[in-house]
Amino acid sequence: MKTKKQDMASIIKSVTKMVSDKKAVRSYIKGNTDLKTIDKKGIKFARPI
Amino acid sequence: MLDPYNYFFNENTGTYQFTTKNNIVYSVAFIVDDTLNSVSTSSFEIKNVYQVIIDKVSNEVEPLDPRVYSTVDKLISDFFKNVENAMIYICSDSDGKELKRFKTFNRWYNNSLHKEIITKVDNTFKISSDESTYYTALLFHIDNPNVKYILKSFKNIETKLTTDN
Repeated sequence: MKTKKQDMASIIKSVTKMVSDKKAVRSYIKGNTDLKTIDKKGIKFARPI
Repeated sequence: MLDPYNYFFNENTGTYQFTTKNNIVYSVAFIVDDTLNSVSTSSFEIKNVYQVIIDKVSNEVEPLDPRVYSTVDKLISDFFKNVENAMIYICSDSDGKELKRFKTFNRWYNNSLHKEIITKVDNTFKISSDESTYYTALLFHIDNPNVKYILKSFKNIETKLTTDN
């Protein structure tokens, strides 16, 4: 299986995006952010249950 | 544990919801999370990873209601009926309330009826650029066939940040 290299900058970017996505969704739940904004951020709601 | 509240999927909001005896509405959102793939050093594609976000719809302060814990426990155990599902919970210490929520989430896990089948791995790391500490937890079913890749990728976050710092 092929392996890929990851640098620190890309990992930091991924982690900070997670936190930023969470903040956006919390704001959405509270009614302070609309679905269009969530979509623009590339956040996808799922129905895993 | 007490009886959980009934929850349902709200098609309009894209979240699961339940209402407590005090008429407080909770939303539970699962969002597709590609972090483990983006930090992975393997070409194996990790699927079914979600970030979970649990919050009240309103800002009302609710008296302690143990049935909320039971409901979250039920919801998460239902989530793991698909053993390939995995869940990430994250917060940073830049917001004191976030850290409180993380501790609450940990308390749920410690009291969960499903600890024997759901494994939780914590990972705490600091990012020097914003001087924040990040608290993360990865949850997966003990029978998850992709656990090797999931765990390696999750641990890669801490390893890489520690090594390169």
